[in-house]
Amino acid sequence: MHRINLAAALLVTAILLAAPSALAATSTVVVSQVYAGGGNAGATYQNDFVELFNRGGSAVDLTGWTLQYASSTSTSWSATPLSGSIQPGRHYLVQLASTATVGAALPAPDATGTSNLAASGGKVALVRDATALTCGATAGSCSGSALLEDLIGYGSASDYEGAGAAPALTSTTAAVRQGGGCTDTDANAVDFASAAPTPRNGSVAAAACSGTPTGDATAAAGVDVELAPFLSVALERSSISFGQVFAGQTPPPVSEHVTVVSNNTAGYVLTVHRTAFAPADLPLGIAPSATAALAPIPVLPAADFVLASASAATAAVGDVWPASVGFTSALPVLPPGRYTSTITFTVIGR
Amino acid sequence: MIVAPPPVALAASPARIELVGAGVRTIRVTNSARVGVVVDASPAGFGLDLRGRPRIVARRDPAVRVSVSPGRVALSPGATASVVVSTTVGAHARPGDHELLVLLATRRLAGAGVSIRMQVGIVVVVRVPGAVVRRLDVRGLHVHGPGLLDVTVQNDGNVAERIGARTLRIVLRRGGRALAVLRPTPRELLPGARGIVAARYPAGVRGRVSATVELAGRAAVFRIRLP
Repeated sequence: MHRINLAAALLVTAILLAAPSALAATSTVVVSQVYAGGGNAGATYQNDFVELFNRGGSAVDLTGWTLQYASSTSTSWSATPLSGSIQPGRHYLVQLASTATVGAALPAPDATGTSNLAASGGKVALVRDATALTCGATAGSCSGSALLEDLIGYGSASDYEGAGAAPALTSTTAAVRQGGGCTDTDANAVDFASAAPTPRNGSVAAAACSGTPTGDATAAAGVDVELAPFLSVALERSSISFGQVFAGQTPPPVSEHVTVVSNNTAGYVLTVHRTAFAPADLPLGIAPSATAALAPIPVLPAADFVLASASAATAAVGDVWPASVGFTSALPVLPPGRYTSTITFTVIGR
Repeated sequence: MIVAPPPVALAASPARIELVGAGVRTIRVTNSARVGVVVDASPAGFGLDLRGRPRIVARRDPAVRVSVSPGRVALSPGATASVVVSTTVGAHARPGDHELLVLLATRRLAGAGVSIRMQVGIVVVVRVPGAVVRRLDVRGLHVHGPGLLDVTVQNDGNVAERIGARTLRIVLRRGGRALAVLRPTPRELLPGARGIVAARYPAGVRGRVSATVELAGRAAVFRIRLP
């Protein structure tokens, strides 16, 4: 009986001792995305970047931490200091080097560094210290570092977590952690897949991982969604042609329905202006509906004509303004030729 | 039912950016149309007309600046791009709210005759830290037409004010007896600006009345004739 109790006590002790090391093996803050094509020919983004993700249930202070990079087989690491904190379920964007002004700008980064990541292979480490690593020559060599929070080796990397490296990168693909950044089995080849880069910074809404430890016997799933104010405008036509017309005629108006979608509760205003016709101006007008009278469209730099306004959010399908564009009077006697102008529709949230 | 995308369409989010001091934000621009577009992003001044409708104006305070990067993005159908908006605040910027605009404008679309462009204006409000001054004054009241009163309000403070039912009300009286209590159509009034706040009155109220305009804890009385 005593022997059984002792065995049970040892088992419990073993579990309690094993638990911390098991928790330490899977990181709370992980590298969730690596993009190395910044500024390369055909690049999606102008800069390399590494995205971090807090898959835990509480905020993590990154003060004193660094994001480190070493090329494929190198043991010489360059460190980018991190600052601030990363809230649970939130991301943290580290902008790195660019080779040229090719591709879109990244969202506002949370930290900036100069490491130039190779697309063919490399190692990225998240370290709870500012000292540069010296490991990485062989697989598993960095795992012994007590200050290593997370490591990803990709492509031809000499070191990585697990049995193999994550996929190599290209100008249009990133290594993206699976499960929305939540998957962490300490096996880079399994945890990461090649996908289009989608950089997220600290302002992106939280996305908690299911199973995030809460410290309680019961768990609650918090639902957090942040709807950003949104504004869109769509037009029925990309150009308007009245065909061949003659002096003294008034061509019939042409419809140009304008659809505005906005979730801003204060509404919006839709205005219009135009350039003068070249080589000589013509009396172009617009009406907010097919039955309304045409009003002259102001020529820049005159103030815009207010076509429509709303003081509330639109329905999901938007407000459709059945505008029509035509001439406010008969066309004057002018030399024959093609007369062109540009109409600009502007929508601004209130 | 499959709904075809419109020939030309442009969307942006967020539609409004509010910052305290200098800062950086990202706008996502989406081309939800059938054709590719090139979008120019540029800063502009922002104002409101007398009736509170947004408009593009010349930039006013050079101490508060907004810049955008990149200045041009090419979007294939369905594509989304990010435009980074950065604001800087000079040492001599006056405290309070500064309203600016970022314009996202499609380039002229190819086609015969009259070409079309679209613009989406993103309002950027920068609050420069310092003493906040809030002062609203009623400068006049007149009948705009049957059923509609216009109250002229001056914002002598340094922050934008939202004027609505909680901040302004009009009581119509005759012989000391209240005939109607009017609530205005909400609007924003920028710092240093004068604007008109509209309020509807009941059709049955006509003739000479006194109108008491209550705004920000103060009251002004006007004698008017309602048609």
